[in-house]
Amino acid sequence: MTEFVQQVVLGLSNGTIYAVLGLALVLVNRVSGTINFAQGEMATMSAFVAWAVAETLGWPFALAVIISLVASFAVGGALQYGLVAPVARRSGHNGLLLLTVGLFYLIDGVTGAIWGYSTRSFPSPLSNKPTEVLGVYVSQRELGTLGAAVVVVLACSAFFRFTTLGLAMRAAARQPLECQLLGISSAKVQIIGWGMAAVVGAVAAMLIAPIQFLEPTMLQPPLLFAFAAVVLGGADSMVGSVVAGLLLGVLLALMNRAFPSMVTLNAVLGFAVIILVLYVKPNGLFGRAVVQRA
Amino acid sequence: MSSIETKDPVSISNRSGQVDIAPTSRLSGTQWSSLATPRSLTTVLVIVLLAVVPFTADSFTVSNFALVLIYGVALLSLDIVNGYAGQVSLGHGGLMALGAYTSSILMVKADVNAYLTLLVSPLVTAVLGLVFAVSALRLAGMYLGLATFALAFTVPQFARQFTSFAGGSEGLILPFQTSPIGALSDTQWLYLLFWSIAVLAFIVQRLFVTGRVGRALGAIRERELAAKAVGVNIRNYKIAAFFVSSLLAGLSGALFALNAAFVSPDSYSFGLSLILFVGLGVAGLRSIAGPLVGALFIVYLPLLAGDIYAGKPDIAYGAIIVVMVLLGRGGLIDLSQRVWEFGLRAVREST
Repeated sequence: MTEFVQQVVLGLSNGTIYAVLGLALVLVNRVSGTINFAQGEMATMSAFVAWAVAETLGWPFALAVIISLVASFAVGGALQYGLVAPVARRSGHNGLLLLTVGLFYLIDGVTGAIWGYSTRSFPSPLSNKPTEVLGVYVSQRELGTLGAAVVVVLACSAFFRFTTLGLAMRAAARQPLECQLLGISSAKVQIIGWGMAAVVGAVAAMLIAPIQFLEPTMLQPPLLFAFAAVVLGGADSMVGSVVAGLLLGVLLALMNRAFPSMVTLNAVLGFAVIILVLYVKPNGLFGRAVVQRA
Repeated sequence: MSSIETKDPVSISNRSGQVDIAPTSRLSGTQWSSLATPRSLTTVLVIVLLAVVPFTADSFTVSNFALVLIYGVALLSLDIVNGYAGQVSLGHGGLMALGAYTSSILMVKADVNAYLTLLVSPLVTAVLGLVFAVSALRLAGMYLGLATFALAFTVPQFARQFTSFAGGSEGLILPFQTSPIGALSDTQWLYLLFWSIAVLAFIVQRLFVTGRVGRALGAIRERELAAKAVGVNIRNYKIAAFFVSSLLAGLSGALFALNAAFVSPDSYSFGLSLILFVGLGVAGLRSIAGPLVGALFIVYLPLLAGDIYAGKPDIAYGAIIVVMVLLGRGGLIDLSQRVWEFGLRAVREST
């Protein structure tokens, strides 16, 4: 039983990363209707910026994180304004998907060119030392990661639920044309959406960087699972992506424990489970069915 | 989006504001009644020119063009699903892997003739693709994207897991095919084999997407609900599209393995699926030349990117893709058409 709980804790800590990164994907999908393949690379770059400010300039860690988050918001918004919006106008969904793949290579290349492909350790204010709680070993860092994720998710939900801008953004995601008629600028909504996604992604990157090492490709495997979590949860549901991310993390951890000899196949089994769920619920666990009208 | 467009029910439903109902005559080139159009003559000329490559070009170019032909078959396959049927597929690398591994396992473990495996592996891939399609085509958009992506992810993982059967991470080394005709070198023989199969694949794809099936797929792509309303059996047509597409993808994978005389899980990573998607998208969906242009893009862009920015090809590679997407509404082919028309107009006005 303790063993089981231990694996669940491990899974939750991995799942947190999928959940937060998935949240970023959902934000972009809501405003632009596309998967952002470059989300992980954008986030990795943000983590590198924070690292560079803290290590190279020697500024306080908290300040470095804030600078990186502000820069992420600006870059995310600028990408939407300068590249995503024109491409969406002219080439539609397929063009957008292509654009994000291009950005994936481009940003990965730029990060690699500036900071190189060697691994670095990322500072963390929390200790990695496990403490025993009711027979289960948990580290401060794991708790901190989970806590930070909860804060991000709650902040996003609160923004969408309780602010006028959040309401406008929800409306614009559902009925873009009608909102424009009501005077909601869809350009503004989209810029904010991409900016927020970049910030949320950056948080995910800075949460995973101390656990793994900081390197340009560090978010590529988690992005795959975040993508899977988004689809499992329902592509436009924030709650869905978070719940599904945590579930996926736990599922994979339990399977790795149960079948240690098949680690390469466990991810495959994870996908199989998701596809089975989608077979029963084609719009994901929390997704909304899009009603087609002629 | 202009106010006039908003009156059109099609553009209201379409988030991106893009209305893509090009006339079928422009899309489906080959009409058997009018074979001597400039377009069909160009097509034949290009096909003939491709056949001459191994006798005129240096060996580096020949090996590159062999890859162009193989990727071309893969893109012919992807265009059926992604272009004509309008469904997202991020999994064609996985289908190629199925074809490649079927061929390789038959050759290495069962000692089957290499050319015979070229007949078997597309069929095996098509049947497996059919099984996949029957369950996955309930999904659409991003959800289908994930299902196809899972396919791309799964096949190499299976190959990695089953060491004794599929060679594991090290892969399988295949017997090298020598030329049975004295006048042709081994490279020339393989190239011409790929060329003839690619031409055959091209004809199969054109026959499939023009005419009745093509029109049905076009209706499903543009307005699925309307297509349903006029009695198009959406499920069956989508499954048929995926079946034929898997057939060609499996063929392309088998050729890929034959060409390299080697298969390993790393050759069919998710990156392959992604690059197929990029190649076709940058070239342009639903055009006769798209798969060829896309294949040239896939083979030559990394070389070009390496030349532009030695040591950091990723930056040049990504930047080129971004610029291409920004420039071309419907891909490179559409862009070149617009440039050509612009040039013609300029010439006409100046005289």
